[in-house]
Amino acid sequence: MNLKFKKYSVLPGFGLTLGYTLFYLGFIVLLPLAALIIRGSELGWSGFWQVISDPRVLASYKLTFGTALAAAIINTFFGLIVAWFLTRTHFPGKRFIDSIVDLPFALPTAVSGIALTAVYAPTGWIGKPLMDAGIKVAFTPIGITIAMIFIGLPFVVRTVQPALEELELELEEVAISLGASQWTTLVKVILPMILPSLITGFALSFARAIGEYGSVVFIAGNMPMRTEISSLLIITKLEQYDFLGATAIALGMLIMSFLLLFVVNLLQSWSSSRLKGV
Amino acid sequence: MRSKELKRGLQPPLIVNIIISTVSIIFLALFLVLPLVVVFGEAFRQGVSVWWGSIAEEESLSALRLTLFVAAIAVPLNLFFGIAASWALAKFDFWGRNLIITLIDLPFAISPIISGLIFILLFGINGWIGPWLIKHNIQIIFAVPGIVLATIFVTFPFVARELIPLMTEQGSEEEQAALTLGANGWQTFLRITLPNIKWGLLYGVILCNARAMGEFGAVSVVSGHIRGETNTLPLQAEILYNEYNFTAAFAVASLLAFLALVTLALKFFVEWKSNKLETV
Amino acid sequence: MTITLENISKTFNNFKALDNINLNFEDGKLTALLGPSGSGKTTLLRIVAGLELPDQKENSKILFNGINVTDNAVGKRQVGFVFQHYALFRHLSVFENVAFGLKVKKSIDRPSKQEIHDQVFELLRMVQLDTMAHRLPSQLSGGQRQRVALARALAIKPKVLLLDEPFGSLDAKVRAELRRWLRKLHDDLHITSIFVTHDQEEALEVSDKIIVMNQGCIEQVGTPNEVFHKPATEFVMQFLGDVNVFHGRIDENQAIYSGNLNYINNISENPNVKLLVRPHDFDVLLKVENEKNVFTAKAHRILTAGAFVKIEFIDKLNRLILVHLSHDNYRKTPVNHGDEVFLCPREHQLYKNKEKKVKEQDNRFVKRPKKRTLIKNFIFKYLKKS
Repeated sequence: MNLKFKKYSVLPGFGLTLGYTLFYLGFIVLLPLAALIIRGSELGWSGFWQVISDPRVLASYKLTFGTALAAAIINTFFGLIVAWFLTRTHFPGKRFIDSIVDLPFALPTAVSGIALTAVYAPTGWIGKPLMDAGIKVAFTPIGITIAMIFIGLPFVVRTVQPALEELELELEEVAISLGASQWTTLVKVILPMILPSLITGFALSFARAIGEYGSVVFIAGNMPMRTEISSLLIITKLEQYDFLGATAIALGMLIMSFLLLFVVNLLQSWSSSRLKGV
Repeated sequence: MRSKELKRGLQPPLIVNIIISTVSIIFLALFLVLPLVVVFGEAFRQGVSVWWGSIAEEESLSALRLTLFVAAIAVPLNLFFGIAASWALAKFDFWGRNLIITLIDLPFAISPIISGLIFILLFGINGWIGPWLIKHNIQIIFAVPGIVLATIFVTFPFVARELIPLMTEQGSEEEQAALTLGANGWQTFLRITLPNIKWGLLYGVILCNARAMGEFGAVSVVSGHIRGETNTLPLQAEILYNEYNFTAAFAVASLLAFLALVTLALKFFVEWKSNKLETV
Repeated sequence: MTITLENISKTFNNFKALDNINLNFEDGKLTALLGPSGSGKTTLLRIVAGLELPDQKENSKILFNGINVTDNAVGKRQVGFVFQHYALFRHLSVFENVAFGLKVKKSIDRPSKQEIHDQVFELLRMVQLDTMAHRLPSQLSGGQRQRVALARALAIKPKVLLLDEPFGSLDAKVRAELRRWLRKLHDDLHITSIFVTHDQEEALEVSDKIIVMNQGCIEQVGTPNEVFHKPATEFVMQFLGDVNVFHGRIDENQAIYSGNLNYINNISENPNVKLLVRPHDFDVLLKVENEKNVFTAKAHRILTAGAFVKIEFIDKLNRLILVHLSHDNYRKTPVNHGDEVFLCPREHQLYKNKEKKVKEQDNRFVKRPKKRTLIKNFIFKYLKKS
């Protein structure tokens, strides 16, 4: 086999830059992560399982993944509408609205956390009317979901928007000229074309919601068994100097999110390879 | 005769367009704009002087200083790394390239709390290097070095992931041309590559800086919340909030929200600038 | 400067892009590397420039004027390289682009500011762009960019000028203009030049010498006349214009073709042969005295609009035969749709029917990728960069 490690290039500096990249990557990212995995493995399988299967931990996993899933689904739906709105309708001030979508990226999570709480608390701007209607938002899973929607929305919009922009208008024109209705064109032509980016957007917003802490912790209420997310439980364990417990919960979270991401990645490459025929 | 421009592609009925626009605007207003308005509303509820009083407190000022200090270390380090990594990964084709790109993205996929936890496991009392550090009287966890490390970790990918696709797309023909004209590696980088990536670079730095100043979860784990010493602005806002000192909490939060608005404005400017360059 | 290549091969992963090339480029000549895409011509050009390394073999060498430059870095070879898509520095003005090669010189060799200014403007006048010195590349047309790229390459006073598909991305009219202009420039400067093209017309029109390449090998080296009129291989004949192909068998030292075509030949080892005739090498006869070397065909389609008359004939075996006639000859033998006439090849080329060719193509892939399981494939693709 004539496989070489690297293709020849006349440009200099490969060894130096790659060496530095690997060193920095190793020191900042890989070494600390290795600590997590190796410390976690000290627990052993049974120890790990013991921590994970604790009802309080299980409840936090259920809550975290459940609300994250709900938020990701809502974001995928509304994100698609917002992306369509931003690419297909034209009105003055569109670029301004377009940059607002990035707000959750730019706003520090603690700020969004206390702001969302102020909005949705029983005395808050929206929380009060909702409370009067009998719906309690803050300090319930609904509040957690809202915070996760806030933090995950830009991921969907920013992955779907370019796909919609790059879509060839000819495709829609062909479909319509062949006699398809607007609705059929949307469902049979446009949606399948942007499906890969929709899946990616869903996965990114899901992953972000699972790990989110700052914007969730204020609105969550943090009642054990009911509104305690896994990230907070890790902190609680740390404050009790239960490092191994914290490590095990963290590992459990990581394993589950990586499995999810892997499945979504496969799904995504399957749906895009169908389009590209690779 | 007035010529009417023919619109292309799908033309949903007007009512559908109206529904889509209304839903989008209400959704964005409710979920994104309202919280921002609330921050400023609550911060200035009792007037500017109360707001200023909360900011000018020694604890808040020291939190501001620490936040700026941490960003001033983390951003340049990650900037330097981003340039080196994108040069190696975008200009060369080698085995394992995609694996490294995925590894660079790792900190994005990891919960901020776990990002803080890993440094505790490494440098904490029970950590790998912890006992050695105690023996030599070096404190990393619950001190500024820990905050800096955690911040570097969570902001690690920003510059690199902005530059790698950009430089891959630009290819290396211009660099090759410079080399055939007798330029050396440094001249090629400084005179050709750097001007071509400057907007992408700035974009990455802006995002990196926003996250570095605003990071909460990871910093919260390693900081120890020592007032006036290891509290950054977001941590200070949290403490004030938990003490039911809402006006002060929102005053501090308004500083960070202002930072976010500046970030968005800069981002807008850079996008506009680089779009303009592309379309000319 | 003469350029000599000895035993140059290049393999990309498992793909043989160049297969043991030996070539000599003469001093002061304009040589065309002609071939279809994937024939290895651009790879060869980049190897000459030093932008690509040939496979490491002891006897492979690149000589400039007899001096071995195989190990010299690209910057030290003093070659002017014009990239297919120009690779102009997009953030620099036309002036700065052309001046780049002079400004990056070491301070001892670097000309003064005034000298740089004068030299650049001299070059810009030569490429007729002195009025556009302050513009950015994005503000120029394709032809103008091409000329900036050329001026930039010439600024370092190269010993050899290499051009990769210099007219590839221009529209037809600009292309024809630039072609003549490049020829004239070469006649003025007499710098050894090599250019890559897939357009046979371009190669025939501009160059002193043509190297026809196919599948990493050299098919023929010769002047435009030689290559066009005496194609060494069937590939060259096919590549340099339309041809009619007649398959036949050799019987007792005579080639016998379907219809009444008989030719004496001296190939005996392989009974299968091909007879290739260019469309303009046919005589169209309304009647003949002796039916030797002619065959009958029916006019199927006649196109008279153009520099010459194009006629499509169908013969008795239902083969399509293309014939080009001058308008003069067409007037002498007016053929109408449906007429049956006699066709007589004036000139032809005879080639052995090589079936090897197909196999050779397959051999270029040393090893084919194996079927892998879904996950293995996924990981492999992921690691290897698509």
